[in-house]
Amino acid sequence: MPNVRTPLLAQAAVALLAIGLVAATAALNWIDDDPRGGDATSAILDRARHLDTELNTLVARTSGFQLVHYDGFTALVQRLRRLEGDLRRTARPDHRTDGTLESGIEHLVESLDAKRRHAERVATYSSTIVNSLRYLGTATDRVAAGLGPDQARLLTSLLTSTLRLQVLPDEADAARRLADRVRRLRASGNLSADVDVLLQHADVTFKARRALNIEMAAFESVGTTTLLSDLAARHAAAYLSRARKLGQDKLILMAVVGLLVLAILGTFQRLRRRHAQAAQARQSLRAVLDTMPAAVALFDSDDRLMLRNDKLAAFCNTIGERIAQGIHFDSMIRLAAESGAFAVPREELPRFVDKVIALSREADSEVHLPMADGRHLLKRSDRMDDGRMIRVLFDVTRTKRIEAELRTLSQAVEQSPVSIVITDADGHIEYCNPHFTEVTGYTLDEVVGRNPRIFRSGFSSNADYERMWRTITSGREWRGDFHNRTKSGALIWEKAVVAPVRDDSGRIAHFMSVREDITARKQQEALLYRQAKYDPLTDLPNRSMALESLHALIALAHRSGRRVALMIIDLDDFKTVNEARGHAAGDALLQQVGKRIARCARDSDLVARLGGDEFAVVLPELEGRQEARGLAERIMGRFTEPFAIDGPGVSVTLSIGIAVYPDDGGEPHILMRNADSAMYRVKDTGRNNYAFFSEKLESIRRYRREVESELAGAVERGEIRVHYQPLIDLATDSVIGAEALCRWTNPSLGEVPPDTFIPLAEDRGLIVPIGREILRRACADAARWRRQTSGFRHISINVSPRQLEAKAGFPELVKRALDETGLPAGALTLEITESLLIDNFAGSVESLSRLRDMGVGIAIDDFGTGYSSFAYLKRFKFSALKIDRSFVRDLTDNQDNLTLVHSLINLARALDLQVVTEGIETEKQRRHLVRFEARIGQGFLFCRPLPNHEFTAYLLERAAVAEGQCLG
Amino acid sequence: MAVQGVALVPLVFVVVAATGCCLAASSAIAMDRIPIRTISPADDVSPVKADLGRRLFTDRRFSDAGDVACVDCHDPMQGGADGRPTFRGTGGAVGDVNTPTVYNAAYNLAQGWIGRAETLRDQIDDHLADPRVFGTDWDALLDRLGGDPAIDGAFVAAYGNGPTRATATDALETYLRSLVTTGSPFDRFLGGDPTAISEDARAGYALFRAYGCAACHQGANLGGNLYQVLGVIRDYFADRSHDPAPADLGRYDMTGDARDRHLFRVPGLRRAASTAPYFHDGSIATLEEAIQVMAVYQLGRHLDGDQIRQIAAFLRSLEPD
Repeated sequence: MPNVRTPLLAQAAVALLAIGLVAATAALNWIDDDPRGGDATSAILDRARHLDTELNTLVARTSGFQLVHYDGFTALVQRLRRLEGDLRRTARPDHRTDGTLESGIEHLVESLDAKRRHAERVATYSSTIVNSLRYLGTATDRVAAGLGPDQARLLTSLLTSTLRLQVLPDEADAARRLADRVRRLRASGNLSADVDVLLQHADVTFKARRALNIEMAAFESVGTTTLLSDLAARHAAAYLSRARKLGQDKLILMAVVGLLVLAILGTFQRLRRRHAQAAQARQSLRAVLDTMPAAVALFDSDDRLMLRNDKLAAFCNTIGERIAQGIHFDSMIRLAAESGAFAVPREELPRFVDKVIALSREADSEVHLPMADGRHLLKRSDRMDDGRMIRVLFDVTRTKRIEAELRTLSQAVEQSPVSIVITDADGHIEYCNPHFTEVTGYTLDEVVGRNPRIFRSGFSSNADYERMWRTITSGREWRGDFHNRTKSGALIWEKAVVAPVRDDSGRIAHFMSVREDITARKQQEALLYRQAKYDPLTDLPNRSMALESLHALIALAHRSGRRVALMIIDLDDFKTVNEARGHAAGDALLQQVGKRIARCARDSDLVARLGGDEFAVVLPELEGRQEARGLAERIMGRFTEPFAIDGPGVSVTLSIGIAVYPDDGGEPHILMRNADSAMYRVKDTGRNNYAFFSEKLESIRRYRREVESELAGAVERGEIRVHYQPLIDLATDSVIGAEALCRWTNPSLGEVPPDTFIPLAEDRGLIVPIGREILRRACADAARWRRQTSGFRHISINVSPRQLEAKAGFPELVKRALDETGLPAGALTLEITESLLIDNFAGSVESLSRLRDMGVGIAIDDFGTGYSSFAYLKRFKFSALKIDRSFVRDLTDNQDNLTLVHSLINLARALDLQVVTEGIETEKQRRHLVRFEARIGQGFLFCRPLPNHEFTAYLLERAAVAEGQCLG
Repeated sequence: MAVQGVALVPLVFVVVAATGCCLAASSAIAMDRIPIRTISPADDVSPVKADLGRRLFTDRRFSDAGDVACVDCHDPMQGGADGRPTFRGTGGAVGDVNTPTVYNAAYNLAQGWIGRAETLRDQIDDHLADPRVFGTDWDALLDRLGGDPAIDGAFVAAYGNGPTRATATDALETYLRSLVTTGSPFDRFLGGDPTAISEDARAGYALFRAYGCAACHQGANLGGNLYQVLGVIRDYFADRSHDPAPADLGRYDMTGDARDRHLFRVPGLRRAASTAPYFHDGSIATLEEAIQVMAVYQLGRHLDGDQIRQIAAFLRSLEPD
């Protein structure tokens, strides 16, 4: 029974084993098959990397004006377009990529597209600049030859600046200088068309450079490098995981195949021993073996071929059917070698053959055979108990290719310019690339098996890390910035993408992080922030920062119920320091002023430079105004010390305006405005002081401002009129002349007092047209009155220092007025103030001398009120002296005053000056003056100033009375 | 770039300081290298496909009305353009811009005055759909071509099957890529034969480089590979006699970016001598005028009669024999 049953059982066992064998080898083949299409993806990523690098290089060369033509650029753009198309096709879902890779590729295409467009603009701007530089280079000399030396120098330095700006494009300073030169050249007079074109070219390079810088920054900020590394790492990590699994699976399956073959052979042997069915059994065995996708050969203990399947001939196709039964294994290998089956150089062939033969003798050995036709075969040898060898050949070409590709990929990862870290599913580091080591100082050995938390700086919060961990363990990728610490303890900013990598079963097998060191960019951002918010000269916050802080502090004060003071500090007369000592000294002074103010302020105060010579202090959380007052006084106190800048020390005074929240405004800009107006009030009232904003004072200022604006058109609108106050001969009480006085009536302001508008008019230079108007009218009126009455002899007119400045041409004006009206020069007296002599004697003396020479009288007004420098009286020949009304007002019984006025009159007489006393209001005053032999007087006692027609009436009436008296 | 910049500074300043002169500009920007290259034919052009493309190029069935073909605007006898100020399309439609030459179009960064189409293929699609050009679509066109045994045969010979959108596009593109103006006297001059062009042309070439024309008109096609503003130094549109037109906006029309106002693709000049009138608006009638206009508006220079004549002679030497 057993004899009958056994072969059946054995055959059934063989059949089962054969099925297992087929399944195992099929599985092996499946492993070999690369389901990811990975080679295509990595090849295209590689292409993208190369093109991206090429584009970077080309754009850098373009922006450095290194290209003379852009054909390479066009060719590259065409290749990039093709790449973009190929990338899009790769990213299509029918390729078995995971979603993140797809979106990454889509992002890459967009980024490359953006870079391409930036690059096109870079080319445009570069060619613009090259063209204009070329023009400047060849035309500057020619154009400069036709200019004066100053303009020529300016032009040459313009070119230097232009070039400098192009060579060192980061120099904001050079840009400013350039703009300044262009402006100065434009302002320096009429320019020929040549110079204009030149400036136009300079302007073009300047603007194109700015545009180019923006475009380059935009180009460089497109993160293709990180994106490409990210994609490569993603791809590599997926591959890594897959390849490892593949290796393991393959080994297991190969062992299974080996075991199965052995089992089959064992069964057949048993069959053959027990039954004389060897031939049939052999046939069955061959049939089973032939179904296998691997080549199988059985060698006897002498290593001669006993049995093989058809695949062996197919695998060793160069010797094919020559592999006959009985051939020795060694000869078989030699035969294959001679037939050129192996991809091994001829000179190395003997050694290779020896190695293969030696290795194949060992049990459980494996040897790789690189074949000449590109295939890779793996030969596994197993020794059976009786000394026979079973050898199995697998085609591992695909596996080999995957391995090679993996090497390329890992090269990409290894050489990546960003840090790449791969961890296992628990977050233990398995791999880091050299760039990571470079940045952090940690080597692979030091970090393998550890958790990335060792890099934490403590600046990113635990919550951040937890959020990241939650994100990636749930299978999504996380993007963000890390503030990490290197091995040496330095802090670095890293922009990171952390993503899970799944194995084929969909489980998370790894996490990978791709990090770019953005410390430099962060520093740049900080610098930009500083540039935007800080004043580069003094390193103090600027206006924008001051306003922002003010805004925040107001919000704080609103809650706490306290006050915030804004103090605006302006240097008095800073302009003269700049003019006298140069801009460098001016800058140095501003720096020291900033420091000095900051030293006076509390720690919580914000000191800012608003611009020019204007500073500000924001004082938060105040109880009252007292603290602001204290600081203002402290600052003014400290400013009594001169500043030590190159050369003699400089003394600076300040005008400080203070506005307080909430009393003077609820908004930063209103406080700013009000502090400003308080500061201007200080400026208007003698400077070197501080003032709080006050609504009442502000209304006065507003009135003054209104007066100022109305005054500008007053002459044109005919609002300026002349009133006349009679000059009386004190002895005879007759009218001998008049003083012309200026009056202004405005439709909206009404009557504006002269002491309000005259100083303003002088300050704004409006006194010149006003004075001209008065001169013209007064001379005309006086000439008429001289014709109408015999007693009227002369007219006095007030003249301001501004009118006497050489450029005003006042003597000519007077001459014309006299000529036109027929008034003799001797009938005109011009009154000037004492202060004019002190402030501006040299400038006015020429005009006065010429007037004097014309025969016009010159009188000193308000004598005795100012410095009363008698020296001036001797240096210039005046014709008259007016004693100020303040002396006359006090002319009572007070003996001191009487003596003073008397001696003034005596002095004038001694100097041969006529004396006019003004402001006579009482009969008593008149009597005193008559006693002192003062000849001429004016005042309300006689008559108030009158409009010209009233004065005419007054004059005629007085003349009639006098006549009547004579007649009577 | 920074390294390069630092290295250049001393050079620039020494020269400027020493002579007060400014040739440093040219040493700094490497202008002494030759900006114009010999033009070479596109490789891998299949003669069979190109010939088919040429047949399509002259085929009036491209328009629904059967009245215009590609060749009506891009006439090889007229330098690959049409000699009109602005183009004319199907049904007498009047175009808004001057027809650029079809020659050497493969060397362009993008197609058309403002780069409306990035590639020749896109340009073909664009023209087909544009109501002012053909105003048709592929289905209608292929219907019209489909019934013609001669065309069908040619397609089968070239592609193994009848006309499809892909094969028709490819044939036209192949033909366009074959339109390269090789073998001009100037190319022979560049190749080392100084007598290949006249003395005037040589002088014109020197001016062309020295005056900065070659800053934009460079490369194998003397342009085509760059966008530039029309009126860099002087406002071309303010001085022009007729009113501004939408086409004057230039590439702005494509991008909507204000910086692209009046930005146009710099035309290649290989066929300039035979493709009057000039500029996107076709407003300039002669080559000589065009040279002067360019000098004034792009370079800020005024050329005298001799200079213009020499530059024109140079441009004429670019035409193939």
